[in-house]
Amino acid sequence: MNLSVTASGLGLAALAAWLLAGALAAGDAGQSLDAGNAPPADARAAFARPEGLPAGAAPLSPAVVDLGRLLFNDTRLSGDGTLACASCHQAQLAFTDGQALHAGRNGKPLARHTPHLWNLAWSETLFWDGRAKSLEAQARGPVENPQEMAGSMATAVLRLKADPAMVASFARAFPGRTAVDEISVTEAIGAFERGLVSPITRFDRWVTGDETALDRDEKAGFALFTGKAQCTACHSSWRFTDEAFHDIGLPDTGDLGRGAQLQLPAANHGFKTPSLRELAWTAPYMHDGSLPTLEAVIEHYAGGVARRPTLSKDMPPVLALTAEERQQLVAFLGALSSEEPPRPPQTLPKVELSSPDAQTAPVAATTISQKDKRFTPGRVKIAAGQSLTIVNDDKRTHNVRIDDPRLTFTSNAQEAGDSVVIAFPEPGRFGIICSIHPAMKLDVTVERQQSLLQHGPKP
Amino acid sequence: MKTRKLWLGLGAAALSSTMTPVAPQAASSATAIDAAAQASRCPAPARMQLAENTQPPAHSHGTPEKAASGAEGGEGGEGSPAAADADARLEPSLRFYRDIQLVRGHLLVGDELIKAGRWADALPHFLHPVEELYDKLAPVLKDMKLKPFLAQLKSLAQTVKAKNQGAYEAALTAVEGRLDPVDASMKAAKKDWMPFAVETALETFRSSYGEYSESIEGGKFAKAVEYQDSRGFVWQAERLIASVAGELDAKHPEAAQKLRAELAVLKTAWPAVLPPAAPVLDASQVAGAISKIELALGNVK
Ligand code: HEC
Ligand code: HEC
Repeated sequence: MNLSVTASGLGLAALAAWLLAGALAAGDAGQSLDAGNAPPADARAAFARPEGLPAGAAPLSPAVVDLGRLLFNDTRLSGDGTLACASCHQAQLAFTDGQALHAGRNGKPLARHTPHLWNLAWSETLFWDGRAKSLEAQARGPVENPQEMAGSMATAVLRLKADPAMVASFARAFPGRTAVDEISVTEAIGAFERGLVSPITRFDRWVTGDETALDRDEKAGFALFTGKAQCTACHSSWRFTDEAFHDIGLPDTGDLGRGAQLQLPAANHGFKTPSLRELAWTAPYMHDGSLPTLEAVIEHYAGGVARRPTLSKDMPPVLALTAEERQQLVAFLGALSSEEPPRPPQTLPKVELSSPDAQTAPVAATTISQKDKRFTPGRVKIAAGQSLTIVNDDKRTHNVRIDDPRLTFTSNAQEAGDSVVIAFPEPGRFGIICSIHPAMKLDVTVERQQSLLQHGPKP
Repeated sequence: MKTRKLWLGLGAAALSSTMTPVAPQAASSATAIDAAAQASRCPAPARMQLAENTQPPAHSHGTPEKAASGAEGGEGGEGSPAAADADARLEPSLRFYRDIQLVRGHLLVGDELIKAGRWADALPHFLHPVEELYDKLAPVLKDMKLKPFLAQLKSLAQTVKAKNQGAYEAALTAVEGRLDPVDASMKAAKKDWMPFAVETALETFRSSYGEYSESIEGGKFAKAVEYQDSRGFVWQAERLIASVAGELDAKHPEAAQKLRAELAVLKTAWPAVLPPAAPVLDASQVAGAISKIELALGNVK
């Protein structure tokens, strides 16, 4: 077991130590969790809920969110006036549709399963293949998709403008703006979606110290999830996602997912790691809706994985689970869901004051590591004219990318051991991401030559 | 009409030799299994009513060897003054399995309503198992090492609220995927499955009567939900009997034949999933028909 990989995120050392102790003590995850042998606080801290929406997000205004809710339920957004967002993302069904694949306009099933919409304020990308970068950009997709709402934003805006009640709602939501327009429509829908923060669960209470919140099986399931089963290699953080795209070896249906989106065969069959919250309410599962129950999901990981070259390197080579262990994993997943059908919070979430990352000062460096799905250092400064060398010292395939009008760059599939060299001729600030693991971010400040001379960078 | 009243008398008399005894006063029992399977709201009136003429009976033919849960003890001595109420006095595994039939009966009639496009009418039948029955089932399921299905039931009710056909079908399959192992596990736990299934069906008929009598006020159906509950229970009891029909026919051909005839009479009370303008059978006639079924099945072993 590679502990440094499983124990991603915060509290890594403590978690690893605990897992190791558990493994040595009993070799049985269930037994290592009896009373008095609970995981250390740090292991849980890796899953602690944030205080509010990510720092930097625009604060949510009740009037905008209300407007967003109206629009989300408004069939006028569809071409023939029959479908709303809520037709597929049904609030009673945890904002999903409870079906493997929704039928499209032509009667044939849509290509992919309707995902739930919880906690998307934290999502780096949207859609199973990550093709939208913001909720606002995403909202246009279904409206104009000929198999979904088969409409156009322009027409929708005309219809809304003709409705005095709607015009009034827009005026309340956006007092500074004169007209109902496409930007306001997508902003309001985006704000409504950002407000969909999933309720506190028993797992959250356990994370914050309530020992009684989980039962024995659920705790054993947590130990398996973070240990032997290596689920946290991908399902990390409080949302249980690394925001990355992985091929987990589901049967090939011809959908190339992220690979098609990036035109990058190495990312074929890669789909976004879904959050694991509220899954009790969102069956069936996976991008193709092919797995009806959580039991079926565990069956897949423990024996149903198709081995092919694109299979994620974060997938364990084999996963042998006993019947009891499978049931414990399912029990643990259950504890990540509300006991009653989840509903949007009564009060709108606040925005967090600052993110820890934002405070670290950039360091002068020209070589960057990619170990453990992380650019290190994460904030660098270099001099104009210098180059950055990005070394894949990780076990995974990466894809380094800059999307900036001043400088666009994309590496090919950057396999373990490959280095990428990027020259920065002009001063400015640039963001680099890995488009297979979009949570990997590198912030590059390119300074005018003189100001960096004292650091003596390599030529 | 007259003949049916006669049947009621007959049946009630016959009860004394075929049914578990009944003590009308409820008292809470200490064992986990009893707590697990306390009297359900629905069946209590049925027992009271049908048991009016009962004498302390002979040992019930259907008393199973052992509680399926493996809980030791079960009820206190039969007929003892400390006995719990009618329902609580049922042998625990019988009570548990009867409650499973009630869950299925609710789903059955709910499904009928959905097939008729009546989602709103169907909803109570999907909420009822969670609200009225599941709490009693949960500890027994756990004891029997069977998977819980509360989340599945709640999800199913959500799909009905959402009036979403595809989601409903998937969620129903998920619930059935949890109920089927209950049947399998009960079968494995019972030496004499057929008589136990028959006994369970009888209990389910009795529950049906309770709902049916509650649904009628002033000679009219005042509560459609209870009417539908009672229909669902009868249809489910019939299904349960059908599942052992082969053995029943082979061992007790006469009883099986009688049962079919009486069941046909009983079922005329529910001409459709929505209540008729006026009851086809009044409550005592339904009780009578059920008594006749009990009589028919009285010697099934
Ligand atoms: C016909 C059904 C349908 C309708 C109508 C619909 N969606 Fe979706 N939605 C889907 C499907 C299917 C996907 C996944 C598509 C994919 O990943 O390629 C999706 C994905 C999304 C996502 C991405 C979630 C994630 O986790 O990445 C968001 C956000 C979303 N929809 C919001 C909306 C909004 C807002 C509307 C109305 C403007 C809407 N949807 C209308 C079916 C629908
Ligand atoms: C290699 C990364 C990776 C690992 C390891 C991993 N998962 Fe996943 N998981 C994913 C991705 C990616 C998906 C979506 C795949 C798809 O739809 O094609 C997913 C889907 C799921 C889903 C379905 C969620 C939904 O909303 O459809 C569940 C449940 C789940 N994983 C649980 C687990 C458990 C439990 C483990 C450990 C046994 C695990 N995963 C290990 C990446 C991973």
